[in-house]
Amino acid sequence: MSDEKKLTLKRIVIFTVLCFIPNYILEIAFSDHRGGLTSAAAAQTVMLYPAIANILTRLITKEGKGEHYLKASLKKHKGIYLAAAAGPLAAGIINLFAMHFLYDPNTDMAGLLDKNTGGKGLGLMLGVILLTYLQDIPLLILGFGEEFGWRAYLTPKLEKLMPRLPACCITGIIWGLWHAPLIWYGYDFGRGYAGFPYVGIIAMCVVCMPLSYVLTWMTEKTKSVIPAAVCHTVIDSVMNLPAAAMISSEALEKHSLWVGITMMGLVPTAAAVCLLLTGFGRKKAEA
Amino acid sequence: MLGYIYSNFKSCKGTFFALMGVLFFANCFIFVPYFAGSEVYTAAKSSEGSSFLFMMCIFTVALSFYVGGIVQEGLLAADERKKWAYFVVSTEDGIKKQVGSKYILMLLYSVTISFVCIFMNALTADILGEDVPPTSGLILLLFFVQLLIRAINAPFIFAFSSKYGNTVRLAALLIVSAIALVYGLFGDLSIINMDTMWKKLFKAIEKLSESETAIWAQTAFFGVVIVLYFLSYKLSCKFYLKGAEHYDK
Repeated sequence: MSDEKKLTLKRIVIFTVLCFIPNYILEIAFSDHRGGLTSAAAAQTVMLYPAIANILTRLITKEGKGEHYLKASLKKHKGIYLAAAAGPLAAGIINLFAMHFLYDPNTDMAGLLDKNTGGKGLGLMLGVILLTYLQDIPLLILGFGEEFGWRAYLTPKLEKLMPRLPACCITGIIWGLWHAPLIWYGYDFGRGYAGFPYVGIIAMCVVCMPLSYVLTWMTEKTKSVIPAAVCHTVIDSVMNLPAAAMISSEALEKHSLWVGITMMGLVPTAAAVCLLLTGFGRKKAEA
Repeated sequence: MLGYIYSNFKSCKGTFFALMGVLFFANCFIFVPYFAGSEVYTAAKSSEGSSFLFMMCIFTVALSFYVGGIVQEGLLAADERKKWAYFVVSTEDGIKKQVGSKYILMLLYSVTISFVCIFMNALTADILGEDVPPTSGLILLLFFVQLLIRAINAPFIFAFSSKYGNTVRLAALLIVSAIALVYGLFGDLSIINMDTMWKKLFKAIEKLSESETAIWAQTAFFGVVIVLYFLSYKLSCKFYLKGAEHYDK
């Protein structure tokens, strides 16, 4: 192994350790044992550690700023920005119909929406979605916190050792394992599935792979981490709103593992397959 | 553009870190009655204690945005030198990049203020063993109000430089104050009832995410602010060269 490869590997290890340590400590120490955290302040900071790890690794290994992926290039790539913002909502609507037919076919979606919105129906739902989009502007810092670590540091470093597709898959696995303490207690997939919590952790790693691939595509296409940050923030806030309003809580609870997999994995997998067919993943390792 | 943002941030990094310090300090005000052993906090589990924490959080959030606004204005007034302005004009898309970088940094400052406020309110509630007061709606509202104020303020500063721009703004503020004074002397003041004011305020803040009217009103307001912020940037680009005439050498 060449010295450059060894150095890259060292940087990847340092970055991963710096990402995992604060996250695991906080999520274990402040776990409410139901998939949430007892400390609101800790919950506010967990998404920032990958970005902090990116900066610290560069300082520790004297790497300098290098390829930082901070240029916005908004005008040149406005289509991708638009897709990053609108994509998760479209994915949420597709998820809603997929989950309705797969797990909740007998529920009247319009009736449930009326019930959940106090009789105000689609009008309120639209208002909430639009407001959530606007509220995401000051919350972009959270999406940026994760993406600046995973997409702007880890994946490009892995791409120096291997082609893009396995690099995105390994990023997905690391990203999934990073969520492990929360999933251990029931976050995202609930607790009532066979093989809890190990199957949930594996499922998280699996769904993070295509998502990582799609977000890497956005980052590499624009040479900026900002569209990925926008997409991540909107995924966290907007994507689940349609399903939360129109799928019955019984179905969500009964099929919690598959609901989680569908929500996070269905559309990214389809998008990743399309990107693969267009040849995005064929980039060779650099070093 | 990134170069301009970096340059602007570098010239104002002292004030940025001072802002961070002030924000943490301002948000720590909540602890003063707590460490002083005030009974309202020792009885924090009661509804009165919760209301007091809520009130303190509202106070510190408002204070944070006020201080942040002052720092944002400092950012606008930085590098007001003719030499720099003419250099900016001579470069390709220089005015757009210079003005745009200031608008982006102001936005980033507001994002930082919002995040620190949300984090500090959460930390305070954790330390006091209380539920986090529902101030996030208020923080988001103030975030957009701050952007609105900057959207109105910035073109004045770009058009007349900070020295003259502030005079114009002060004149506008005096007119508003005079109207408020006249209303205070002769208008109906029954709406301002200190006994019920806080209760009404708490209710209004809690209602921000519940009532359909409030949701649509916020959506419309936030949307208008974003459009105004963009128009303000366009206007500032137009006035930049005019304002540069007022700069020192």
